[in-house]
Amino acid sequence: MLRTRLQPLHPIAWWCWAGALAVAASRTTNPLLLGLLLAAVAWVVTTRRGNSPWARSFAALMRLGLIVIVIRVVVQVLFGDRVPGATWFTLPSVPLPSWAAGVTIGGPVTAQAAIGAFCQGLQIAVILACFGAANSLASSFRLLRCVPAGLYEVAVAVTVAISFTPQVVLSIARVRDARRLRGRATSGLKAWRGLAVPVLDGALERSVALAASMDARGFGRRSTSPRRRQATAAATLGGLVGLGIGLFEVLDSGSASGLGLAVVLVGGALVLGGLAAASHGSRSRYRPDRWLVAEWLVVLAGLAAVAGVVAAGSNDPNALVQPLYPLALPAGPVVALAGILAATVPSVTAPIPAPMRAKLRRAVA
Amino acid sequence: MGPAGASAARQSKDASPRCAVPAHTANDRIVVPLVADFGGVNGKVIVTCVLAKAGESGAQVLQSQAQLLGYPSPRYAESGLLCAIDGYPTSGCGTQSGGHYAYWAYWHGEKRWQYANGGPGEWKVSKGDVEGWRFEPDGSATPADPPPRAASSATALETPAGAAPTTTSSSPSGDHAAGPVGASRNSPIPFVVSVALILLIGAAALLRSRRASNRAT
Repeated sequence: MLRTRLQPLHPIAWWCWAGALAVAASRTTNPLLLGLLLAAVAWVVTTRRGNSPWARSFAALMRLGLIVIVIRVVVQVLFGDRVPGATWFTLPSVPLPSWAAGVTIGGPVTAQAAIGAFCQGLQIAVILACFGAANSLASSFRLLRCVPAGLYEVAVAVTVAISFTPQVVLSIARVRDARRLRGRATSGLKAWRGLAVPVLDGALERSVALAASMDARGFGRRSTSPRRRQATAAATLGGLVGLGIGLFEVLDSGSASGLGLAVVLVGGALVLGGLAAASHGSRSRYRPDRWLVAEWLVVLAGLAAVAGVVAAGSNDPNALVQPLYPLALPAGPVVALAGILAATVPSVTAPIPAPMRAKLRRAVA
Repeated sequence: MGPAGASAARQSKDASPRCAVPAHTANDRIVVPLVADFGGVNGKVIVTCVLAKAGESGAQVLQSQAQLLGYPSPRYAESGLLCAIDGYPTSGCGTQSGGHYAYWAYWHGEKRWQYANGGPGEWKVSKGDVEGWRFEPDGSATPADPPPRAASSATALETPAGAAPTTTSSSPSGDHAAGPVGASRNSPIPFVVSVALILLIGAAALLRSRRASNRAT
């Protein structure tokens, strides 16, 4: 089946790709791998985002990631466990009673403590950037169309969860424009104080309004028998809880993942069964998003990064962490680097969003 | 292995290891006996008399012991959790199996061994302290884990100056004897290549987004 000219990539493909990169980032604190992941994500976002308002989500979440790194390092320096190592400087410290063991105020700050905290902050920042990339690349409204009708019971929560970040980005732009028109500061600390409340308030309100309007238009109408509805709701909810716990087990590299995988499979089967039972009957879709070769390529590119990082980790677990004792240059495991580079394939294979293509043609002419 | 097994091992194998106090000690130095028990039934127990300044951290005493004996420096996790003493174990950190952890338990020697409340980075040594470490291959990470197999008081651990070695170890045929582990240096080539890649891709992305926003305005 051929792709029509206006059809963008399936939003779930972008979310799978970004999710896979976030999983890869969660497995490593090696700043080289994290840096390359960030660069790869940024490259794909700049080459394949449209000029929709929510395309700015990536920049917004990058900024949030920067704040996370700063907070992580500052908290480590001020209150963190006194990690031993080469002392950089010593802060005046306050002695705490013995029952407060593990918490300190001030004390010697070591290179190991600061660098370790930076790498952990960077890891969170890269995961946030992946989330931002998904929001920039895929339209949240198109994604909402893919939500199965069986999720009716949690429709409001699902809608708010999916559309909140792009709504925040839209809301920031709107409130900043309003402030500029009134001649108030739009940058700096003072502006942020005036921005925060209207932005969060407006974004949440719009997300809830969107959920209400979808409800009013019959999103996920109820199936007929109440007993059947209860059974499917229980199966879906139980499956989702299982999926959550199982995914935590699988992603937490410290715990044995055999059990976690089983819980994920059982939870996934329950959710699918529940959704299938709840979504019986046909719903027509206007211009449905189709899953074609380009979608598969994007998902595979994301999985390549995960496979590369996991393979490098099973080769040598030390390759995935910043060596601290002794402090040394991080390793550059070739498998992981190649896998992450493969994740940039969508910058070539994914379809260019339509308005951007028109602009390109104009530039050529 | 439970505490009962540990005490049995002590009776059969341990000839009460001690360390000799160096003959000349500077005025501002104190002697801190450090017990490193490599765990298991056959693990080594090394006792070292480390010279330290009062107020140095437990981590610094541990570092001095490694330097004194020529073993690799202690290895820590990013959180500050101690992973390896004298290069043992070579990899892993507090590895969990079932409900148990393979970890180095930290003890302070008084009349008896006391399980430490904080990490070695927070503890400050003073005169008369004894630092104890025991590798628990199958530990519970609670004070119920077995203490180091050596005397717990400084007087019982130190032999007066003049006696030859500064450290003794009771080492039955160790199934995993601690020893220096060659530090693996990472080659700088993959590092340089990947930094170049990051800069290249990052700069390309930045340039492109700049150009796009210029075109938009």
